[in-house]
Amino acid sequence: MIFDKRAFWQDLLTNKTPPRATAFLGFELIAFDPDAGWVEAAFTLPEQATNPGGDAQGGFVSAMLDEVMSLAGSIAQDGPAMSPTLQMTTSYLRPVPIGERLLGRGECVRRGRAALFTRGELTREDGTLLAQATASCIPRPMQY
Amino acid sequence: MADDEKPRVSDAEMLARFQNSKKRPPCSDTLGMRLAEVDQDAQRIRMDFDVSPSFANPTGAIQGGFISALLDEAMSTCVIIASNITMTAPTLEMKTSYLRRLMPGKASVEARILKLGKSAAFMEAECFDADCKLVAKATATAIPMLFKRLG
Repeated sequence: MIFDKRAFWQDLLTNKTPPRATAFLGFELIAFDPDAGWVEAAFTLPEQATNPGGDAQGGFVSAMLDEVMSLAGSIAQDGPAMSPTLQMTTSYLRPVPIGERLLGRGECVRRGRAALFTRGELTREDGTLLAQATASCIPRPMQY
Repeated sequence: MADDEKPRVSDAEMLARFQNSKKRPPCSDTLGMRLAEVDQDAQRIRMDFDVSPSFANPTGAIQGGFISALLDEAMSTCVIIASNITMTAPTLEMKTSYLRRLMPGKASVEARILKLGKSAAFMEAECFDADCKLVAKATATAIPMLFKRLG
């Protein structure tokens, strides 16, 4: 049987109960392309992610980017797969609001046999860039 | 320097001030954070965390971004303490290396200041699991700002 990559990920990302970290971030799939290796999703941070300044604590911003970037690295592989992050760098361009619908995009920019490179962006719905990140990961096939 | 204007308190007093604070930001409670050690001379702190299973990825381990949240929490607090609670430092950039999995439960982070200048701060932090194994390491840059100039 030929593995239908698009159908597999569509089902996993929209019909299955999301992992708890994903649910905490208010993840909502918008679109993805397994051949090109990109994922777009909306996020809404809960009040629990608030820092002393009233905005999102940086780690939760990295968490949203990690979601779309890891997904991009996962869907870019041939079969069911994961992409554990080795290293990730996040630049915090602007304060990230709590409770607002935000847009995240993750892309796999290089698909190697031993390593994957990804990048991600987080914007407001009006397109204002809030944070960007790059990461290196390991391709890891997964049993289903 | 601002440090001269504000009298310094002992490490124990600084620790107590944070542990008894009633103005904790929501993120600190969300991460189950407790300041465990302060060394002002070395510009170093240690924080204990009780990491919720709410931050688990599909494998049951803590999703990397939330490990960054633990590290960011410690590095940001380290700046506040190193400035004798006169400054805060919004993070500009942070790089995290993920060495091994962290499961929900106990974790600790040691953070220290590499340089606290007028226009930039450099920090680093290490996250350990319940068995004291190194889970992740981060470096970050931030812009120190006086508390009153915020908002």
